[in-house]
Amino acid sequence: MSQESATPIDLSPPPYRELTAAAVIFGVLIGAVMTAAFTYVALKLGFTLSGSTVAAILGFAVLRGALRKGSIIENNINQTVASGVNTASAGVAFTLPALYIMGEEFSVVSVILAATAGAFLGMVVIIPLRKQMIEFERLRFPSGIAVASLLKSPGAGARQAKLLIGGFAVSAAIHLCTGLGLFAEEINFGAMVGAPSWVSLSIAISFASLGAGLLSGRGGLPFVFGGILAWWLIAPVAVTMGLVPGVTELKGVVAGTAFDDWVTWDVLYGQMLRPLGIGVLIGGALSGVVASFPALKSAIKSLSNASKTGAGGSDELPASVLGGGIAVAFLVLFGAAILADPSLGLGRQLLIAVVGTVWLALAGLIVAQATGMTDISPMSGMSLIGVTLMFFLSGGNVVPAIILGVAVCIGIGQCADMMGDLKSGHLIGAKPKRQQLAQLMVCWVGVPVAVGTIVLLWGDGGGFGPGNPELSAPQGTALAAIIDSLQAGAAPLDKYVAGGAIGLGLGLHPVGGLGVLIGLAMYLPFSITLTYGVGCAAHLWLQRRNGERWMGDTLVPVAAGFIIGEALTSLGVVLYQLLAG
Amino acid sequence: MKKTIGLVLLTVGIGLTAGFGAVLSPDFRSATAKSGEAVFADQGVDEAAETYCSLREKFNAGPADGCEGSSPLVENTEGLSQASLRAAQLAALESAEQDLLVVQISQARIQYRLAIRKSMKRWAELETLGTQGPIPRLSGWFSAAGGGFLGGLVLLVIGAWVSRQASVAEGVTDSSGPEVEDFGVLLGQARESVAVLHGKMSACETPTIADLERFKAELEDIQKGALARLCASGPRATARHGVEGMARLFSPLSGAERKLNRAWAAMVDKHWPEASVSIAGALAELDQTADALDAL
Repeated sequence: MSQESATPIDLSPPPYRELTAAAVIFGVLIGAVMTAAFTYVALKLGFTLSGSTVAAILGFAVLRGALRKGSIIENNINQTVASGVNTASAGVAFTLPALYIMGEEFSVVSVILAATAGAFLGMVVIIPLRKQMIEFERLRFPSGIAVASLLKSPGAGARQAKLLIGGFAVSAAIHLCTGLGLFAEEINFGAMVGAPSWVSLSIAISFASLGAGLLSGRGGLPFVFGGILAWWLIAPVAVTMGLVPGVTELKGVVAGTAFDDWVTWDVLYGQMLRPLGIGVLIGGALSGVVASFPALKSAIKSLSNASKTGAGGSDELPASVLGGGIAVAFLVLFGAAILADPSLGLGRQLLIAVVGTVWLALAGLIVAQATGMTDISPMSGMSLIGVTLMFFLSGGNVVPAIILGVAVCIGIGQCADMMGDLKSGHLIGAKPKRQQLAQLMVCWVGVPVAVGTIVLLWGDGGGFGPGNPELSAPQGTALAAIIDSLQAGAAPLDKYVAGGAIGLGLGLHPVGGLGVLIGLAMYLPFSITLTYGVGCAAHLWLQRRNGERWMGDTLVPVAAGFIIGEALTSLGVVLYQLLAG
Repeated sequence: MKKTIGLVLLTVGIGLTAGFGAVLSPDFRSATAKSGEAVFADQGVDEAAETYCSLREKFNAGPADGCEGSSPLVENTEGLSQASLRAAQLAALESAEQDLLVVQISQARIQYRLAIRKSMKRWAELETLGTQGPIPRLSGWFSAAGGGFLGGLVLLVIGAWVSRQASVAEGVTDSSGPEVEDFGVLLGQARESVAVLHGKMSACETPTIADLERFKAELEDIQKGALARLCASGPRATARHGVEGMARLFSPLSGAERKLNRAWAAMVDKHWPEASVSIAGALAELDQTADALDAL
């Protein structure tokens, strides 16, 4: 026995470190820096990044390394806080720029109020669903598992650490090559054999998608089925049966790749599958709420019991806090609706606030479920529906529609982020109440940072947008175009209704979340789904061959390494692209 | 058998509903074809402009018509529809006719004008059609594909319902077989293992790092053994006890699982008191799970 092994353990150490000032302050600092940086990245490239893995690694370096006193669970709080703050970057950068691009006059205060209300609402509506999603449905949350693997790495043993690092290295190397343009981002087998683009035979080179599939296994198969249905059945049938315009119907157009691409992306995907998928997602989520109502009732009852018993020893935030939070956040949202356009009238402003709150809760549930099952978030689609709803409720008034859209977008992001962090927390034994409290304290911090970044970058006018190649704000430009089409009266109501009916019907099936998975697959290009499907199939094969225990000991760290490797390399590639101009 | 019938009906139902659901309303389909013509006409304009400008550059014809850094054909595009914009561009090109000595440039300029004229025509046709509003689009789609969609929906609902019934029947009757383990037996095994670990930790008065490593290894065995199988039995528990019954079992069971995870983290952080308290808490929650199972 070595000398260290025989060392006695301190039996009365200071209390176990969890929700500490160091974790919160450090998390806020990392979160604020990431929010400003990722808001800029979103304006430049059209996407943001999740901050959980970055925060967890920095947490190790500072809390455990420099301060030499951090615990695994304290680092989980640090990562929860940082990612909770950073959630505002996507919510603001995808929506607010549209107001500037469209040249609308608006009050920045109302934007900050609405966004803050959205952040709190997202938190308080999703917290009661923790038991349902994490403990009862046991959703996978692949990124949550990846972050937990990272947090657990100090005690997971040398073998698992090597597997995690190995997975990381492979994923990072491949993603670096695709990010720098050395490899294509997908392999198009269809193009190799001369198949038209509407016969989707592409597979994305994404180890994060592969890792998510490896962690999901059998539970992810309906997602793959949905993709196959959309892209290998509906798309070819629609083209061959003339359900989409043929080349002979278009004057002056010749058959070829350009026409096939237009049919595939503008018609099949943009006008048929994507809106239908959004409808299925909504219907699936609604029926999921109905089907799991007894379990939801049980989860909410346990929150109420915690309130009645004083909640001191409970692991959940009491229902009274959540109820009060919903009431206050709703009032702030209502105030933002009044400020956004005082001429709308109190009745309409109240209606906007009520519908906004209800939609935020439902969309947050959908995004959290989709992320939990596949690691893929349909946030942009849900935000789009939110803005559309607000647009019609405000009588076609753009300013309140987008301002309330900012709130909905941030709230939805908070829902998915909180649930992913709670999953990581569950896997390392964190107390949910402390994680919830930490994120509730700081969820507003990212809002002024993100809004301030947008205001600063806009400057005297024209700081970003379609006319500025340096900062084209792709998501804001797309939203502005959609608002334009809404102003012209276009909305694919037929697809939403049809999809909603399919989703509701699927709710009767005993496999929970079937509608959400199939809807999500229709909503996405097939190349991503296919890579994920390869991961699911590999999971099933490996499970049969090596057994359940091997999966936990070997597959989980490798798959977690894949996800972390791609996430961190994405950040590196973005930094390189920004520095290289 | 029932399960297979349910799956087949469900699959056919999903295929039909999604297929008919994706059909475009006839008016919207026509508008989509027109928009396609406009999109391709715009591509023609871009290509013609590129050819024209590159020829000007090649033959040093100087900046003009938006080429080589000259001002665009139409400077103020605000408020102009696409058709009006093309009309304004065409007017600008025609009003600024140039005496071009190079035949290639002259021909390219003509091609450019023709492409703009074609685009203008396509956009004008599209704008005449107007936008189909949400309600007409819904009714148009339903007239075109509603029958097939409803038929598929009926199959989908029946298939899902039959699958649900088959799943409930399976959960009630199929409690034996090599891969199916009884929830109560697994719970007993997990509880017993945690109780033994708790006992050993309580008996250890002066624990060392080596003791902690040993207990951590024992805890990992429990987590990856009986507890993992227990936690994976949710769907079977739902089929057997209903959603509410499953929730009654899994609420304390998941609490126990989380406390064992916490004990593991505390052991890694060498925090003996937290690890001991968490193991004791997990044991109490496993007892509550056993009580809930008895009550069911």
